[in-house]
Amino acid sequence: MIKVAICDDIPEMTSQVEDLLTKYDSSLFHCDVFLTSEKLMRSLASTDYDFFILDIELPEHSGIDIAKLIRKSNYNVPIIFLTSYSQYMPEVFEVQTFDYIIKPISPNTLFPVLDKVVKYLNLDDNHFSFTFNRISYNLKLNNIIFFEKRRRQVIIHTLTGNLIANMATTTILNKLDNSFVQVHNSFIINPRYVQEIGNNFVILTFSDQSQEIPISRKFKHSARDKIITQLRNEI
Amino acid sequence: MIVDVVIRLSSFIIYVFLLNFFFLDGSIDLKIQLKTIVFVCILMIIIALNTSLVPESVEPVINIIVTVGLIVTIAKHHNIPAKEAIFLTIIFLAIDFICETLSVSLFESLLSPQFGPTSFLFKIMTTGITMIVEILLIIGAKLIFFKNKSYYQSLTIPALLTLSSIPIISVMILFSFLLSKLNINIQNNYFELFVVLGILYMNICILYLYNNLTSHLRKINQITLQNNALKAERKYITEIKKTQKTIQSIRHDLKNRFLVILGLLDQNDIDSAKEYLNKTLDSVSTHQVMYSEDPVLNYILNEKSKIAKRNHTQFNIKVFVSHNIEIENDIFAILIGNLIDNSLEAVARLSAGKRRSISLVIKQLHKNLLIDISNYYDPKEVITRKSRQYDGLGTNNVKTIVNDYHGIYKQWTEGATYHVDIALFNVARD
Repeated sequence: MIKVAICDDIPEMTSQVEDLLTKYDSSLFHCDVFLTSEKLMRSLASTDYDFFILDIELPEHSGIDIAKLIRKSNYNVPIIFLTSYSQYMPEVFEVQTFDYIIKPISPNTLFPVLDKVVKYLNLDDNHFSFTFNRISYNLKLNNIIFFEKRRRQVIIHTLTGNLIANMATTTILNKLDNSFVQVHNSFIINPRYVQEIGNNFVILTFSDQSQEIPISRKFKHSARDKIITQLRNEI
Repeated sequence: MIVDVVIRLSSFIIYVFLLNFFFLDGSIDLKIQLKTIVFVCILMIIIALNTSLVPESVEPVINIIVTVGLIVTIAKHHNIPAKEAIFLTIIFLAIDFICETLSVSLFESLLSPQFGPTSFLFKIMTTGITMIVEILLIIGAKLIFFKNKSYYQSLTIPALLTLSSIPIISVMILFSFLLSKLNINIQNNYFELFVVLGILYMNICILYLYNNLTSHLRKINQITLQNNALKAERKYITEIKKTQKTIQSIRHDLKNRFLVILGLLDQNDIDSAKEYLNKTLDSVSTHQVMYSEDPVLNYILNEKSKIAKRNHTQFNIKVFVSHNIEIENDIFAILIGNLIDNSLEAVARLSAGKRRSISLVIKQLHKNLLIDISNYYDPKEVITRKSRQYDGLGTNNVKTIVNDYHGIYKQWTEGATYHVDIALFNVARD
């Protein structure tokens, strides 16, 4: 079940959102409804939510304030804002908003966003599992930057450091979902970390570091195609 | 010998008038200075002496010097700036040589070999043909390229050196050709070296011209883009003023509208109240929407939204960009504008009754930017569109910009939906 926090000071609005979530899929979501920002902010300390639907215009603390608090502990959880105006607000960008919906809310406006959230949450939760030297590893795909093949071994570059395993390229690719892209016989990358693409190289950035990875002619077109497809999944 | 002198002097005098006509721009005082007359007379004496007393091998060189002297004198008389005068002198010399070579070649092909270069007929005919061609060329050049031209200091030294390259080489080649026709020996080795160096110089000049021309074109392009951006911003400011007025009037009107709704609800006329509310919502949503901090982008999106609305097309726009995006806003505008235009055109071609919808998402993902646009289209069009000659011009512009930014462009179809995705990398500041 996907745990959703809904926050709006108008009870009719929260009920409408709840109804639409049930209409989208009656068994997929577990909703917690908050009519004040304070209640939700207090609840954040004790409960982990999979995504948030927040009204921007709340009486005391705005939806943006709540989002800022959420981002302090979780950078990736999707936040969807409800707003009455389609005006640009720089803060909405600053808190890494997943999407926003302009009121009045309807299946036409909410369901496509829910499609994306569900897709995103599935992507976000996938893991890469393997055993090496009798130790089992279960790495979150999002934390893997790239795989580097060196003969029989594979070096797994992650956000927290490098790991080594014995694995064939086909085995790695089978264990991964479509979100990873092979750019070279020896390299499989996570498009999320792409910072620059040249004619025959790609630069990945992570934790203030950069790494240049070669793109071979064999994978050039398919790699570019897959990278843009994966980036599209994040919007 | 006297005949030679008469022929040379008469052609010289015609040339003086011809040059005077060329440099005349209508604004010069027609009064001829005494200094100029004296100098022209001295040149005439030199011509006479050169034709009658100087050895044949030196004669052409002195002729060139006299011609240069004459052109410079007349140019100075007409207050032509120095660099322009130098350039035109070289051009006139080249024209002289072209005319002389042409007349010698014509004479030889028509009457040779009965008459050699020393014969009376040769001299009369070649001088005559030279003068006729020269008159035609100079009058033609004046009427076509220099009509109403006032000479001002516009040439730079590199431009002068570059522009003079081809005439100088022409002069050298034609001079040697003429000398050989007149059976005058020249130092062949030196001459060949001169020609090769001259050709090298000419090619370097062409490269210089190419470089200058491209940078000039780039500047023009840049200025055009800036002008367009400026126009868009001006229009945007006008729109903002209009919007402000609309907001003021809406605020003023709001109280009255609430009273109307209250009245309708008092009478339990829910349907009329709903209808009235919907109308009010419509009028509120017609003002300009701020999608981003970029005024040009906002303006384009608003304008395209209006077009979509006029065409009964649902246009969903979502923009998630910070002010850190480093793409020049005119480039960004071209990119987005072209993409939307293509979608609007495709949707407009849909037959009546089909759903018309466009969705645009511009999202910044850290330092990268992703633009995703999709629209309904008629899948049958894929076949017929191949014949459309001008189709895809906007797409080419988009692809060029994406390439310039080392981005990725992808277009594909999914059922009756046409998608274009663009990814631009590292386009935002920290």
